[in-house]
Amino acid sequence: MRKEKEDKALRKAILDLPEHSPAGDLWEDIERSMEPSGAKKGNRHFFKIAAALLLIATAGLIFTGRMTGEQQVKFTEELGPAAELPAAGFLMDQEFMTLLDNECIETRTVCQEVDFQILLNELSELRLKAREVVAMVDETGYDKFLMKARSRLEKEDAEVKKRIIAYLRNS
Amino acid sequence: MLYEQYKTAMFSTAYRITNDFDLAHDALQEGFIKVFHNLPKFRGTGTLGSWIKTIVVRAALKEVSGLHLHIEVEEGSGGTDVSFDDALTGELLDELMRQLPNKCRIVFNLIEVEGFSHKEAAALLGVTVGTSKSQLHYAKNILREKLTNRGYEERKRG
Repeated sequence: MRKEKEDKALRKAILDLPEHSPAGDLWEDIERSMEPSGAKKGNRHFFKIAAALLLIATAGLIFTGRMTGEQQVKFTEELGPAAELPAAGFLMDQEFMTLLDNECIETRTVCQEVDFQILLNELSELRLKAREVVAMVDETGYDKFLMKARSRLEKEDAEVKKRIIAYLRNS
Repeated sequence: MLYEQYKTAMFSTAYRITNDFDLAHDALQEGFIKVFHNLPKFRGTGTLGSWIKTIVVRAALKEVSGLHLHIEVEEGSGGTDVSFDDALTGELLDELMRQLPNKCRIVFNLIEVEGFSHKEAAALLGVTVGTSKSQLHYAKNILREKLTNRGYEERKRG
């Protein structure tokens, strides 16, 4: 009887044990540790090159548009390590969609062409995949597979956008 | 997200095992990295929380594996008639647990706090079931002794 009472008291104290919280920046350490050092350097290298190419391409587009007096396509995109970007809003580039809307008001016939619609469909499919990734990140946080998926989607998204811009520019 | 949901409970577990904030941080970091890398392999045979806890416990035990773990059972240390009762609070138990020798503190945590069986605790620690049982007994005796030394009997009387 005494042992039962003792066990009950001990159990109650154990359930009432205070909780201890980790330091706030531990999650950042975990995120950093999950990226293989080689891949991390490679990714950063890739993003630097991609950002530089994109900058040159954007500058070229703007410069060409001004020189020829043709429709100006203004498009900028920031690229950086995916781990530093929040999951919410991933690939939901409202600025680009607004740009497309404006362009299609001016060049309605081009935007109705089948090839252009195919490109828009590709972009929509990437958005759907991005939503799936965001949902998984919300549920489990980033792991190396989701990081890879995110990186791949970003590359594909940038590629499709470039093709859309090129299509508008050449039409 | 997963980390936010489990971080406090898992850090508390790691801290009680390691008895050190820095080691607990290291254990939590290593544990969650393993969790994320192995999440696709989680089959759902047990609860996700239990699976994560086992990974974090293993990481915490690894952190303290270099310490000299006390394995001797002192006879006669439980010779008082002090017993645990409702006056034993969680705060007091937490404080006293931190004063226990490493090995018996770890065994007490694994079995009484985390709910592992003696067989599971013995496997995690690489000791026999008998050692696990004796360490738990030893831990409880020391806790009783410490309660006596703190005037627990007088306090619980009022």
